[in-house]
Amino acid sequence: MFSGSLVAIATPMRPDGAVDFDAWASLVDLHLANGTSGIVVGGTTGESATLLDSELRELTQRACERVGRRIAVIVGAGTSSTATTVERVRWLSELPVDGLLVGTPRASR
Amino acid sequence: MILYNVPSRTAVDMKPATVGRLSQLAGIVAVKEAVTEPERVRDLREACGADFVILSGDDATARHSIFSGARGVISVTANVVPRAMSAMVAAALKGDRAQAERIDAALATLHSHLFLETNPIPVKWALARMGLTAGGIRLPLTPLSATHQPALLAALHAAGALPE
Repeated sequence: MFSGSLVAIATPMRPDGAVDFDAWASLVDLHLANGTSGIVVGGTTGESATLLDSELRELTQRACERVGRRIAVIVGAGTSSTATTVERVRWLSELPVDGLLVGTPRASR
Repeated sequence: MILYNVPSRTAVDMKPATVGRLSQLAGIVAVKEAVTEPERVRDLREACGADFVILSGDDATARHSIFSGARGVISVTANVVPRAMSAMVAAALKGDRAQAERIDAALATLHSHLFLETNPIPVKWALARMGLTAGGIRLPLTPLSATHQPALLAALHAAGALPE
């Protein structure tokens, strides 16, 4: 399931910073057509630090629909707070994702 | 669940012994490892079961990680050259070192230049330059500075992300 070239996909935004869901669909299609074996939604590269939960949910839902199980959809779930991470894992697990990426907490050395 | 170790960002290095213990939990199936020490993948291989998946979190060294037992890479470079990156990884996984090295050589400058500034600043500029996105980015991240743009543009051309 998790092998090959998976993309830490960037979250496309319009100049005002709003998530651009049309460009999102195009980017997902680009990867479906070019051999990428999985998409990591809302990782560091996807600007997890500044995405709202509602945006992460919609990005994930739309990616899952677009991908249709052809390649893996993985979502960045880690935060600096254990409780927040657990909560995020709970609601992300209700979506048809293939995996969750959880890093060590930041700034808690 | 995929663990993610990236001490350059978090200031904590989750060592192979810790990953080995976590790998015994049923829901934890993989690690994305961004530490690039040559022996790291080998140590993870030894600490974790044979079914546990190791993924590189560093484009520039992904090829070598795969040769040491990683199953693939979670890539920034793949945003702009998905076909070349998947071909490179496929060749490396097949054990075709010459082919993997040949493809990777054309991507090497791009691997490094996508980190000219804090990721994802360069890759978002690149996607906009390729006409794939409108280029928006949220503070505290800022658009790629003008001084870094020519070098990244040249790397995109060299890697085939933009026509010559």
